[in-house]
Amino acid sequence: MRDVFEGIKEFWKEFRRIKSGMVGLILLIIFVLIVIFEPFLLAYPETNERWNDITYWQDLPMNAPPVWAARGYPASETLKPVDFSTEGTYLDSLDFVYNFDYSAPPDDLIIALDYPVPPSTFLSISIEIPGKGTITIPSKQLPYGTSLRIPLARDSDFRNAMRAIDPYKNQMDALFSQKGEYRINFLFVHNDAEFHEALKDVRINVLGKAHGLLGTDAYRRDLWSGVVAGMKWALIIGVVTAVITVLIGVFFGITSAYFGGWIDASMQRVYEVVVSMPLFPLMIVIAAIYESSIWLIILLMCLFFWAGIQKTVRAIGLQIKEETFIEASEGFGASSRWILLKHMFPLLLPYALAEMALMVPSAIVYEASLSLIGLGDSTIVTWGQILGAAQISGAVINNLWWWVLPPGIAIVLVGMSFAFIGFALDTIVAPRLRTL
Amino acid sequence: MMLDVKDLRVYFYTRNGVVHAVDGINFGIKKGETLGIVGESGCGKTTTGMAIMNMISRPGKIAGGSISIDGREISSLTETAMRKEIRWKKVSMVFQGAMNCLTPTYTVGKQMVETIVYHTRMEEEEALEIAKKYLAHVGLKEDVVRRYPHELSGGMKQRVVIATALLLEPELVICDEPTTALDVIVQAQIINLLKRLKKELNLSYIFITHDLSIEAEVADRLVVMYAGKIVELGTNEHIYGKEPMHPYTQKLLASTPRLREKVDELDFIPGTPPDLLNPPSGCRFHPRCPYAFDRCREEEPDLIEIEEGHRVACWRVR
Amino acid sequence: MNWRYVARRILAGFLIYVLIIFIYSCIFNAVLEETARANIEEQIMQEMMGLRNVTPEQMANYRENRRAELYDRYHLNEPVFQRIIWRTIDTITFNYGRATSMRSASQSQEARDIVFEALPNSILLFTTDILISFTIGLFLGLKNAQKPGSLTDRSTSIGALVSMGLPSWWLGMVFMMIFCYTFKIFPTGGIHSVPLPQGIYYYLDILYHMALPLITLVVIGFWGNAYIVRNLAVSALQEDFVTSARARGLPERKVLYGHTLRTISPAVMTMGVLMLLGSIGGNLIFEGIFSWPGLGRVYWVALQQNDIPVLVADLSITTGIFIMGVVFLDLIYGFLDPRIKAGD
Repeated sequence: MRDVFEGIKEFWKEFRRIKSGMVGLILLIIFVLIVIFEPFLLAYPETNERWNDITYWQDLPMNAPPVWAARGYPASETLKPVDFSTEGTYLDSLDFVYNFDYSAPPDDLIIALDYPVPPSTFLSISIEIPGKGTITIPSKQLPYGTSLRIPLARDSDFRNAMRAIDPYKNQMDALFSQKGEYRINFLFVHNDAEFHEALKDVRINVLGKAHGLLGTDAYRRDLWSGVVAGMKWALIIGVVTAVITVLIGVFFGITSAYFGGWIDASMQRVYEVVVSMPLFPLMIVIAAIYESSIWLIILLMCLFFWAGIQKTVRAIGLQIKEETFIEASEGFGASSRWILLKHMFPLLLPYALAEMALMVPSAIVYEASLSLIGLGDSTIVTWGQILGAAQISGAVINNLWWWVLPPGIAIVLVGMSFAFIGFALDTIVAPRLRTL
Repeated sequence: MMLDVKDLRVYFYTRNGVVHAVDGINFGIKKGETLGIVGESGCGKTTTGMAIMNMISRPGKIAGGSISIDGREISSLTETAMRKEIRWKKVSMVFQGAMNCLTPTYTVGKQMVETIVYHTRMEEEEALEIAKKYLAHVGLKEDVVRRYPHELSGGMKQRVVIATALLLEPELVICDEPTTALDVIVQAQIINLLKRLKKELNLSYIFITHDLSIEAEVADRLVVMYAGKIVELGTNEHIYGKEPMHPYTQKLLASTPRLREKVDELDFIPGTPPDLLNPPSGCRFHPRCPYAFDRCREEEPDLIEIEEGHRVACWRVR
Repeated sequence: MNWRYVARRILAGFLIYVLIIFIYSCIFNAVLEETARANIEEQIMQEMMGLRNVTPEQMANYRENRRAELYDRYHLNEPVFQRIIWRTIDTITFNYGRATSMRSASQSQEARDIVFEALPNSILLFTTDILISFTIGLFLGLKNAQKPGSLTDRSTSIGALVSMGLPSWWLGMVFMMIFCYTFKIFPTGGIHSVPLPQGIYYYLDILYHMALPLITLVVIGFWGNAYIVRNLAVSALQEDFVTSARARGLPERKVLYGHTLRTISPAVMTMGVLMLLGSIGGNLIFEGIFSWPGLGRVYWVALQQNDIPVLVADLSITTGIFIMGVVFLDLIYGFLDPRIKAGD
């Protein structure tokens, strides 16, 4: 046990000297922290479960750039009532203030309340435009039984009212013709005591021209939440595939090397067949015909990736086999399984670790590529799927860089961190293998 | 003097410090003479050979002293002049581990012809004739020119390497452990070949080896090196004929099996060669020397001429 | 070159191809038969539309007879193992059956025509890429090997590591956004302009369309090559034969581009062909981003239209090219390394 500890300590001492390896390790730690603190980082807590559920995202703007990239444009925000007053029985008045100081109007104002509207409820809206007086939208009866949701820009009464102000502009441009403080008043007429209580929570969702840290996509999804939610899948896909693959490759290689003879010959024939199959096209066809899931994708990668390392492992295994201690163990009557597991495998372990790290980037890229063409697992959020959606929705043509760049950069960064770590491990391991 | 080495220093500037691989050595070679350099591995003999070719590679550097070949100081030559006028034309080299000295993907003929053509601007056919001539000199058939190195045996490869070293009729051939990797019979053949060539072509040799019994066969004079310094220098007579003066040489000789003498027991030298990063104070051999006394630990002995042509660096012989 | 070695290697490659096609047939037979049956029903329906003056009974009879006949012809009545064997034979002889919805440019419905039409375009794009990336990688790698640890050397290593996890199609999307839509330098996809230019302009037009996909592939590709060449050359440069060549007074040019390069050339060629295989393995779908009408785009379109016969045809052709690459690799290796000839 002490030996192992000393070994690790020495390894760490060497590892620390390799700068790129340390960069990779620090990046990896950051990625793991992102996964651990995911619940706190997600702007929309149900991102994982409802990524493909458009109703979850309906109150977000469409194709909005990130806030930091669109200064001078209104960001998405939620307005809470500044004043709540009751004028007589069941006549509730709510005041909202919106400070408009932007060069373009928000896309929409959505009046929302997560409480079922009782029958015969009426709402009238008035908006005070700074320096221009107040406009009133005639009161209307609200549809009952469902929660309240009125997107103003799509409301015909509101549009008519706006047309009266400026017939040549679209309704939001007409409303937000002035900079300054907009006061919005809702007057609810109803006959339900509980609804009166609930009304305090009425809010206005301002669908800005900019949204959040990374903007939104054509399906109104918050891209920051998507990218954060994709992190754990990238790590799972990469690490699970790499670990299983390398273990298969190592055991295949040393078994083939150790037994030799017809076992070696037939195992090498199997290897030749496997390397002669173009993996990615095969994955496309299999995923297209059979139902795709993340575990099927990982399984397929594991079934093929091992071929990449078995050749080297076999060559090293052939060298180890010649070592005297192997002969000695055989002399003592050790079983071949014992020799493979206790003597050959531990010697290859450092090499295997380096190869694992180096395999992660390819695994992530493969999954992303399958997702790009729509063969990913639709029950989870991966960066490939975000990019696939971007591709079919014409994000490139429309220059929606906030949709295309972040998931790709994330893929590159995660791949890079593992590649750096693998390179560092390889630098340490390679000379040791040479002296074997 | 055809080769004169004065106060040569070769240092390796490694991450852990400066290694004094060769530290102030002096010797010279007359035309037609064979100088043997002996010592344990790591004593700086190969480095000395490489320094004469001016081929010390990073992080090593010739840190001081002078090497002159036929009166020309090589440190004043440019790399191009060195390459065109000295290397292989004046001084050629038969390397340690000659097995790997032939480019595996070139035929024997191609690498020989290439060398001749580059230096003499000769036509290829003419060069090929020369190559064949020297192959014949070393006792190989002409059709070896068409062979790849892996098709030849170890002894044949070594003969090819020797033939290659002679192509441009150099005056000095540095032989660095030319027989180490060969079996005993082939070893003897190669030694005889080298001796014959020397007579036929009037060559000078620097013969580097750790094996004193070989030096006894070939060398006229001997340089014994220890930890980057010369500890004893003398003719074959001085070293083999009488008892050598330096304790290290004595030990070295005692640990060598002799062909023509019956030895009851082989001696060995206790201890390990010193760490050249932090060489011992005083005489570098003192930690392993059975006769060491206080002065050996404190002061470094100079190389003192004790008789005509015989120099020793040891406090005991004063 | 030993011709028996060549013949044996090619034969082995062919046998592996047959075996893999057999494996494919096992995996995909069920779904392919389903499409075949649907095709037959459709064909019978069309034939029946042409029938005049027949009673419903005759109709039913006709349907039954035709179905039996066609099932016979396509071996659908035989036991499953035989059906798989037939499928294998059909696939090896390029009889992939009819596409369910795709058409080739010449309006052919044969899956084979659709795939063969795309093949040259893929070969054009990817071999050009490999030639360029390979050349850049070779010279950069040799240059770095001369000065290991220099700034260019270290940047190349980092570039190689980063490019490992960089999807070519993503870089394609980014480049397209920059160079096609922001700065309108390159065309936005495809291989030809409309209307089709004539004469020399026809080829220039193809080059113009190929430029951005090519730049993208090269920008990703050369790092890894340079890195591999560099590692090979660095270890070769430490070998005795290099020291020996230098001692012979040969100039560095001859040592590096002669002795060193010639000696590592088998491994370098391996790298080149492995790159080709890598392109087939992973880069193919890259074509979809640029609407480059090659094998990779056929996968995209066949997927969108759920055209299984075309998918399987595409896969079989891709596999064939892939195996040809592997065989070619072995032959080149044997050709360049004199030690192989003696061994085999």
